[in-house]
Amino acid sequence: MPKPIPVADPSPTAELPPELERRIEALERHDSTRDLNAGSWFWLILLGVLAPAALLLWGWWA
Amino acid sequence: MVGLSDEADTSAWPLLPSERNWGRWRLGVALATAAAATWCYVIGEYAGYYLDFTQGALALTAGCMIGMLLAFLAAGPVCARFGIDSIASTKPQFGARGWVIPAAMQLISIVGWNSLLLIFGAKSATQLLLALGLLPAGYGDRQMVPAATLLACTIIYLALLRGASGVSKLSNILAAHVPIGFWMLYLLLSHRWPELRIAQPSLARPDRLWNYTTVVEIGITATMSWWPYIGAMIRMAPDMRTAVVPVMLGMGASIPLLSLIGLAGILVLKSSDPAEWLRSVGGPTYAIIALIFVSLANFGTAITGIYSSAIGLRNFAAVERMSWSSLLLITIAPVALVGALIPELFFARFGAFLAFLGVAFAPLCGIQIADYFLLRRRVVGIRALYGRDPARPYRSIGGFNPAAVLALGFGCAVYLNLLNPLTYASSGPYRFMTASLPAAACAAACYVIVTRFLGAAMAAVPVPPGAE
Repeated sequence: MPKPIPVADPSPTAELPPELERRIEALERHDSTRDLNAGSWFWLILLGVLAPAALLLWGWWA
Repeated sequence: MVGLSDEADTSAWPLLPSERNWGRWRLGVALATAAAATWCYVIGEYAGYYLDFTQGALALTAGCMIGMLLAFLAAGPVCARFGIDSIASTKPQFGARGWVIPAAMQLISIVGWNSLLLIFGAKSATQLLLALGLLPAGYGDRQMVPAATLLACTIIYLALLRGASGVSKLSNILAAHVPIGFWMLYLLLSHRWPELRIAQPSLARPDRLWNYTTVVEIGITATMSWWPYIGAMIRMAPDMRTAVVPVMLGMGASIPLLSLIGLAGILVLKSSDPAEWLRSVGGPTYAIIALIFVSLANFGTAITGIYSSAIGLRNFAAVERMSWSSLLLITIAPVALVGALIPELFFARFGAFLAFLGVAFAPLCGIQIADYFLLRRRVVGIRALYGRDPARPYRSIGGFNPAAVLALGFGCAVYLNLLNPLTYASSGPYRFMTASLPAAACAAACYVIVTRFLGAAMAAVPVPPGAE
């Protein structure tokens, strides 16, 4: 796999409004790693790939 | 909406975890209400031009689910992770200034959809007044639609002065439209099933595969264009996992199901608008009840759309500090103008509008998916999304990422080469692949290749410490 490209500049951005700065700091402290898990992928593949494929086949032969 | 400050509610700033308290059920209802508007009837109508009821229903549902998957994978991860809207989620790809390109696409899309909704709602209201005998002789759509559209815009403006709280409360009330829609479908199916079973589409071409693919394409473009709405809604959910099923079922499945009303209507009664045929199918009482709900239902969706659009506009520095009421006004104004000045022209050109959405959003979705899952491997910095210096947060030229701009242009060219949105003339492998899916795939591939090339070319550009 290729290296991920640099994405973020973690240095402070002093010109941000105080409330936005507060929110960003809070989100940086918060564990935001709750991305898609195996269960989420199961539903996505079921509802976004397998179900449409089945419907397409059904419709074509209907 | 517990714990959401007014400032966050009406800004494009990220929401705090404590403010994102919509569970699966609440999110699903809000998404279904947003999606289940009368535009579904028009989507179904276009499907009914090419396929019979059974094939049309299955192909449209499949297309909608595919489109929803792509739109969700494009905007969903970053929006759900940081509580931001869809426009902010494009900054990693398009750059600190380049995000104005998807922002412009979003604005055109939402203005178009909401104009359609309000014009449709105004037509339904006119039919309702006619059914009730409240309109004087000689009055019809031409006189009533502009006035009703302006009235609807005023009501939406007043409802949204309270921010997303207004969206949530109205969603709970107007969700009743969904079962009412199914009731209308039941009426039509139970009364006209024998005719519906043998009804033939009026614009079907001799090529059966072309007809089938075109309806799948209509489904994909219709749901893919919900890209702006997805971010604005799922930013209220605590995380991506909570949003998966509500998005795929609440929004992705409710659209094709309600589109069956338009599909059945155009095949049997030559009109997708229940306002026109409910009187003959169910009698005057049914017609009046349904018309009231059809008229009201559009508000739920239009309110969500205007809210999403206003939040998206907040990303522009020029309106960042504008009052919420003024921002709402400039967001609603284009919708009001279309509804008041050119309602019939816009209504007649819906097919071209639908195809435009595919041209614009398919490449965008491809670029975002490739960026998040392939290039960044799910690493996005929240601080960099809000950095003001166009030279620093992301590698780009003057705030524009050339890779994204090139890929978007390439994806649009691929789409247009496969399908002409105005004439529906097609070429190449369209009948096997649709136009949206190749456009998304080609844009994604172009983005990855150009990014790698530029990455090597720009290797001399200093990367801030810790950025990797």
